[in-house]
Amino acid sequence: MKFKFIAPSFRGKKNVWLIVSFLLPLSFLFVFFFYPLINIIRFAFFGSNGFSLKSFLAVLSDSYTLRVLAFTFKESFLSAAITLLIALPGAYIISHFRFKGRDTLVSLATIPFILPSVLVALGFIILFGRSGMVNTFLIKILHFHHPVNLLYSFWGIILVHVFYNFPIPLRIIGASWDGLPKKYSFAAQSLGASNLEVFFKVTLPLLLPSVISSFTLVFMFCFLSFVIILVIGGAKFATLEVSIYTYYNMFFDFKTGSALALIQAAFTLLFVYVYMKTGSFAEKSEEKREIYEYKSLFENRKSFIFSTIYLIFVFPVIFLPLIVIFASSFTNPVTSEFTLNNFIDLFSGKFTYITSIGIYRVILNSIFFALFATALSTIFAVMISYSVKKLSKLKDFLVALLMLPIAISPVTIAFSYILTFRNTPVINSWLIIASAHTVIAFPFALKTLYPSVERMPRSLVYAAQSLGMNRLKTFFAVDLNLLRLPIIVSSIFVFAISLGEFGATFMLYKNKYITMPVALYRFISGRHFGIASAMGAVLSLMALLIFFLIDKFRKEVSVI
Amino acid sequence: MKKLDISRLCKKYGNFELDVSFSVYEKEFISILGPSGSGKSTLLHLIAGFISPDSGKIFKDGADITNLPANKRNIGVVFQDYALFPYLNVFSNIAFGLRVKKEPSDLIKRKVYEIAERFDIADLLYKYPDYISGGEKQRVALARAMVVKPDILLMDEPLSSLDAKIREKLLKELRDFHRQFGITIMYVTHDQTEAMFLSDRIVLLNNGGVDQISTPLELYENPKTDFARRFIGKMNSITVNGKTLYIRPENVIVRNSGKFTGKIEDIIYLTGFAEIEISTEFGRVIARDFLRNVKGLKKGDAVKFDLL
Repeated sequence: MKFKFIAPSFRGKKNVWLIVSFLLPLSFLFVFFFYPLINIIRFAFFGSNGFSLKSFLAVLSDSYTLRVLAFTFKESFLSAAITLLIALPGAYIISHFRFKGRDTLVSLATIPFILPSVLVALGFIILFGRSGMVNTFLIKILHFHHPVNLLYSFWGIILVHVFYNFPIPLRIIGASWDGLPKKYSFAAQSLGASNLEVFFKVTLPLLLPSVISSFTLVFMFCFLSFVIILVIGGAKFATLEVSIYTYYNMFFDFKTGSALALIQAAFTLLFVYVYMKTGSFAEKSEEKREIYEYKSLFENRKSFIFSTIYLIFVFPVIFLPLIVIFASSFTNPVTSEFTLNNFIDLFSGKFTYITSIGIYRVILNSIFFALFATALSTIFAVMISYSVKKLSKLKDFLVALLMLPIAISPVTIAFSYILTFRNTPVINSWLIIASAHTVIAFPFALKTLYPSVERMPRSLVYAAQSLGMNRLKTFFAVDLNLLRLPIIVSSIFVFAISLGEFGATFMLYKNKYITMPVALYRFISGRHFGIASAMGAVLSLMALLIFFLIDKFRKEVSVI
Repeated sequence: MKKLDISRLCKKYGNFELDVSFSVYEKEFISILGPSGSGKSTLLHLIAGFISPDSGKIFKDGADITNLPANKRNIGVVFQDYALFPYLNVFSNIAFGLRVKKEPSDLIKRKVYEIAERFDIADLLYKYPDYISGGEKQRVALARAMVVKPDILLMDEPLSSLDAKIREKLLKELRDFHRQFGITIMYVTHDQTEAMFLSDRIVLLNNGGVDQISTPLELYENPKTDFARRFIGKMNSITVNGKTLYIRPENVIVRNSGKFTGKIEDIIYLTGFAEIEISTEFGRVIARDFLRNVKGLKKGDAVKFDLL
């Protein structure tokens, strides 16, 4: 029905490519996203007697649901607020000073997107867990009698979330602060405002869009937190995301699961909306600044001491989980001595009974899904960008519609697949996981590639055509060359997202298709921390490689 | 009476060095004129106190203010693009300085209404800066700066981003404003027309140093350096008997009774007047005359002319 509107502007023989490049991704998204999503709505509202709000309202007013909702909001709010407070000094430092390592600090903002959350959980367990490094230190050196519970608590969850997410506001607010025209604070000063008054009356109001936008983004990430809650929260704590999983996995309750998924989606949609609105506002204020306006860290003592303390504290903390994972992977969990056994055990298949398939197969699965999702989402994003670009009226609406998967949680997507495909062979095949990864990754590819396609100077295409090239040849000779960098960056980014994907895979996997994060989760659940560290080290290495690759292209293309 | 005294004020950025001395008198409209990179904005930022100098002194009303922070100087600033706070409405923009001074709110209200009346912006008070025109912004910016009664008003290329038509109107407004309020104004610009139109005196700045300080007429008629001659208007330089004469194009008069002869190389028609390029025994000379006087002349004609 939608297509009827669009068809006229695609008329003509030449546009057959455009129609194909529009319909192909759309039909994929229809089968693997929109239709399953509709099924969730159906399960939530339609019973054997047709439409009814009764069961939905029952779920909504259930005391367990309310508890879960309250916890999810409380946990997300505190995580986001503390994250913001910790990031603010960093945002000040990166926007006012120029120093070695500043660019690295800025690019760390990609970490929360590309570092698998299960790795972060592992890092914190190794560090703060009952038999973790801190407790070992307390017992062996300070002669404590019992390990101290530092991690498995409400504040443990907040701690991990804060660590995981603080590079995001650091980058978003820092960039906006950097781009803040100085004239406003000058104007305030000339009207008699002191430095403190300038900060509260001018700087803060001008930074507000970026503060709200980064707060919303972090809030949403914590709102959708899954594996960190599973691992650290245990049975005591559940976010909406965890309870959707629980209702399906433990009670096989599709109706309640659907209702919870819809409640969650309503909130995440709101968050995405706020993020996009304030985000575009924040970008508007960016302005080029003269280089002499930046100070050196050494210019005065106060700023030097403040910044140094902050940086010394912050830099190691970001890499801490990775460092402890590497350290622990070469340590015997019992004797604390150096050993290669963790890796030998991992690769010799000693623990295959936990993963049910060989470790090489696990790694291959992960790489296969990531490659599949990368290829498909990138190609689809390019196709959609080209075909949508031509539409004048529905363009914005269509792009928003196709970005929708970003607002639907991985567990919900997986859950909708189960509702939709549970009686078909698809549910047991590799395709189901591969499709979930593609759907999850697609909005990120579209967000990176669509602006590049839209901005592409048409004159170059016309120039090539006037020199005798047909449009298809022009596409390969001109367009793809211009799009090379955005495609590379988007591909690496999307690859990382798929590689670290946990929620959807965890809901959908069959033993044959187990991935690295799921295997890692199983090792952690079985408390095999030595081998978990070895596996974590392999995954960390991949994530680090991806981080440095993206960082290389960071100046040219922005992924977040 | 000296309102502002700038004494050997220095500031270095890489290869660039600003080093200036001059005075500004009470109620004077003084322009700092110079090409981009000449140090105009740096000078303004130093006087306002947004940056501090490497050496030198700034005196206001005889008092050394070199190390006084910007918010204690009582020097008003109108910025390029006006820098109205986008998240505050016009009323709150104007009230900003009064609120910082913690004046009682009914007094603030009275003062804002009063000044808004004077600048004819009373009906804009509850609009936001994004929704008012460039001309209105200038008046709001002036009102915001003036309501706290500054000793001196600094203006940083306020007209540079506006189109030609509105610019002319605002220039007149600015001149009237200065006459009405009788405040000392220092106006930074790269545009000679603006400087000529507005100023009592012009400080011509070149590459960080003062090139010449004089009234607009003096600067035009009697530029002291090559830079001043090149920067202000057009100038013929003619060498006769080993002596160099500087003659403005409008002082080259094409007429049949002329003493000198030459050949027309080109005629460039501009609005209302034309420039005639003449090749002569002492090189190329440019004459400028009204269009009506140029009628009938064409390229290749032999002409006679006088130098006034």
